[in-house]
Amino acid sequence: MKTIQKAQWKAMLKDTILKEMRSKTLIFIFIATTLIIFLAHALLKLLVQSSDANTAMMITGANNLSLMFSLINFWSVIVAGIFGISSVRSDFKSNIIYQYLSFPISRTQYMFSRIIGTWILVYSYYLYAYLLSALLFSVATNTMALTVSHLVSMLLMGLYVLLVILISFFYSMFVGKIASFIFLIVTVLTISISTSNMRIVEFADYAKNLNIFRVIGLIVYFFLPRINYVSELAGAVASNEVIKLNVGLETLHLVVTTALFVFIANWVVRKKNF
Amino acid sequence: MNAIEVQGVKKSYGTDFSLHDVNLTVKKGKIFALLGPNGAGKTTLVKLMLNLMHVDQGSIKINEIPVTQADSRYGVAFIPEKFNFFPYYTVRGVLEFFGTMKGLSGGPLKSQIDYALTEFNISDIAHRKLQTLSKGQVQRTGLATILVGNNDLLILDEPFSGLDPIGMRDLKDILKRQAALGKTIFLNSHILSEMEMICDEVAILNNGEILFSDSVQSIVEKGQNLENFFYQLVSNKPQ
Repeated sequence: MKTIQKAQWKAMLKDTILKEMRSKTLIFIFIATTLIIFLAHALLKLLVQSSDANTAMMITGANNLSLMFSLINFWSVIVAGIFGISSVRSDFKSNIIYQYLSFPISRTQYMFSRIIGTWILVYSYYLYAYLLSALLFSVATNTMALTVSHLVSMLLMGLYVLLVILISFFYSMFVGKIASFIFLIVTVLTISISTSNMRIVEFADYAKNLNIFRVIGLIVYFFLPRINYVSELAGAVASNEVIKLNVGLETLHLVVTTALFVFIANWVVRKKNF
Repeated sequence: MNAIEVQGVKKSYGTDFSLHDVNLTVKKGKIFALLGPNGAGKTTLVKLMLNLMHVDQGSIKINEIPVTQADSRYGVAFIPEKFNFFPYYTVRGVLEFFGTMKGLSGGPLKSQIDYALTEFNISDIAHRKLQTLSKGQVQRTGLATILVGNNDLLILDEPFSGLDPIGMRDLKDILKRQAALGKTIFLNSHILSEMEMICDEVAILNNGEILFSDSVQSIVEKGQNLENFFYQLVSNKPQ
């Protein structure tokens, strides 16, 4: 039975990756990303060659690469959202979902195979953009752009991409592609705003000046995974900044709330009528 | 032993009842047809049998396993009215995927695929992608999936729709051969004349209630054909 389940997982993951790889959106994003990275680095090379030594040193500074990586990180979240949503919605289209759910697999297995398959694809895209950018930056500036910190940052962003896909998957079970994308953006922004606001408030002051926005902020802060913590951590590691967050507490919160979110998502998928 | 057992199943959509206290038993090795007019609740019952929907009350077992367990779907093949799958798959690719999901691999998978391709006369298009096929060829591909995966219960929703007369005849012959091998076949259909010819047992569902469930022979013994019997029962009018 274990061999069969392994083969089913493999088939479902391959099916998810093949499905998304044929998406015109992915092909367009892949080509556009490659062109933009090449263009950015051609400009960088031109600037370095036509500048004096001091200006060239400024241009080749680590911050410029970090800026490029921040852009890639931001863009990868958008890509993760698009493909997280598409992984389920395309099954709903023309009722193909009925075929999948009539196989001897649990809905939990279906859910995770779609999420993990999409993650493999989006994270591969992210690694491609990140590594291509680092390679071209290294060539343009005659420096070794990629450091151990960047590799750690890349791993952390893998977790961030996975969390975004999970949230996208959850919304796409209920509403269409555009609405799911809007909900995703609103969720990510709400988590980001509530986290940055609540972090500066002392615990004893949480109940002070309560209004509807404060209540929503508190609920989001305590019960939703603070996914922006992961991206902040990745950014800080990549640019060798001092991490000012309580990493232990934030990680514990992230693990607990993510587990709760996965539990709820799984429960909803199992209870849903198709 | 029963292939399907439906006991006291109720299902409603909001305030509208779709199925009222449905009881149904399908014996192993029989060709069984669920008949009913549009909106009778046939598709809802099939969805409940595959756990695509959940019952409000009652229970459904397939091969004595509650349908809420994924294991109940080992050995069950389902083909919807209009088979649809991702267009970049080849015909062989579809069959390979379905077979793998049913736990097949290697030699047994290949031999079952070859058997299915031959039975549905689609060997010559095995390497073509679904997007290049006609509707009928796609439907045949879907139907071929039921022969891959050691299935002993075949659930077919309106299987004759979209098939030309040759395809219909081929399918009837294939279903009879599968039944002769001891497989249970559950058909959901409107085409009464075809059902009378191939089925052992029928159930008639109307407004979410089972009005009749017995052998086709029992209808014939009453001196009626299936079409007249169905019409009288559902419209409540004597012929």
